[in-house]
Amino acid sequence: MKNKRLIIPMLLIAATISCSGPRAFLNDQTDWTFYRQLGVLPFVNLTADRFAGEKIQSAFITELFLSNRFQVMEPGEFNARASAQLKAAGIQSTQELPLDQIKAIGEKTGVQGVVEGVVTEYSMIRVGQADYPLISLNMRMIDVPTGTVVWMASYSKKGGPRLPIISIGETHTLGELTQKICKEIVSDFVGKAF
Amino acid sequence: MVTIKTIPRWAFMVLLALSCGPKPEVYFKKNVSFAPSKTIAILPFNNYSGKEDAGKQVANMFLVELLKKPYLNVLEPGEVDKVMREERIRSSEQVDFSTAKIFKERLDADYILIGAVNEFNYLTRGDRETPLVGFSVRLVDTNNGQIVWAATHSRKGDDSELLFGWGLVKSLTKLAQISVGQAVHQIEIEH
Repeated sequence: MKNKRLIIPMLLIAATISCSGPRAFLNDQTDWTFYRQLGVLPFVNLTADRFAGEKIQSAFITELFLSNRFQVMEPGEFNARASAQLKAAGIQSTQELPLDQIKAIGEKTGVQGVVEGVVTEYSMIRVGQADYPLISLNMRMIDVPTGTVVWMASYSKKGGPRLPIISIGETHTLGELTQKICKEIVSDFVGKAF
Repeated sequence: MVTIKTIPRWAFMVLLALSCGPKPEVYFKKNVSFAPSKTIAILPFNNYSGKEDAGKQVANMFLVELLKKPYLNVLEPGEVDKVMREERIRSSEQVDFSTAKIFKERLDADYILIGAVNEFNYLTRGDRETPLVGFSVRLVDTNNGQIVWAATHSRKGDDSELLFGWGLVKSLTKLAQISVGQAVHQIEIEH
C-alpha cells in the first residue's frame, strides 16, 4: 500500500525532470499586434549538417503561419532584398548580424519584425542502446522601428522518451524533432506574447 | 477463450489512434479559392537529404497528387525547366516576387510550388531498417508573391504499425507517396 502511494509522486518528479522548458525573454512593453508581417532571415548554421538551417527555417515559417498571429514575407523575396542590403554594407549573410543591419533590412523589406535563428546542434546522439536526435537553437526577434530585441530564446530538445524508462513519446528522427521543436517555440512565443 | 468480442472496445480505439501516425503541419491562407481552376508550376525541389535525386522523386509525387485534383492544372515540368534555364533561375530558393511574375507572364501560372526534401533515407535501428521521409513545401501566389499554403511533414515507416508488422511501410517510395498524399489532401479539405 505504501509503495502504491509513492508511485504518483515519483511519476510527477520524473515528468518534471523530463520537461526541459525553453529559456525565453519577452519585452513586456511590446504591443505584439503591431507585427503584421515578419521576415525570417536564413538561419545561421553552426552544425556539421550543411542544411540544418534551411530544414529548421522552413518548419519554423510553417508554424508561424499556423499560429494565425503573423504573416511572413515569402523567404525568397525577403532573402533577395536582405542580400541586397547586406551586399551594400559589405557583410556576409552567413554570420550573425548586428542589430543596426537587421533594422536596415527590416526597413528595406517593409516588415515590422525580423526573426533570426542560430542552429547550434543538429545531430543524432547515442543514449544507451539507442540513437536519438538532438537539436539546439537560439532565436531572437528584432523590432524594426527601434532596432531592439523584443524576443529572445534558447531551445534544446532531445528525442528521448518523455518519461524516463517508459518509451512513451519517443522521437527517433531529426525531421520529427524539427517539427516538434518549431511547434513548441512558436506556441511558447505566441502563448506568452498574446 | 479470447475472442474478438471479449477484447474491450477501448483497446481497438487505442490501436486505431496509434495507427494514424503523425499528420503534416499545414497552413492554408483564409479566403483562397482554387475555383474555377488554377494553374500550378512545380519548381525543382531542393534536396537536403543527402540522397541523390530525392528532390526529383518527391517533386514527381507532388505532380501526380496535384494532377488528381480536377480544379488544378499542373504545368508540364519540362516547360518549367525551360523557363528556368532561359531566365537563369538556378534554384527555387532564389524565387522572389519578380521571379514569380516571370512564371505568371511566360507560363500563365497562378501559383508556384516550392519545396525541399529534408529526409529521404532508411533509418537503422537494431537489425531493422525503416524508411524515413521529410519535406517542406509552400505555394506562392504569382500575383502578389504571398504564401497561400505551406506544409511540413516528417514520417517513418513504422509510424502506423499496429501489431506484428501490420501497417508497417517498408518501401521508401511508398512512404513518400503516402506522405505527399497526406499533405496534398489538405488542399482538398479547404477547397
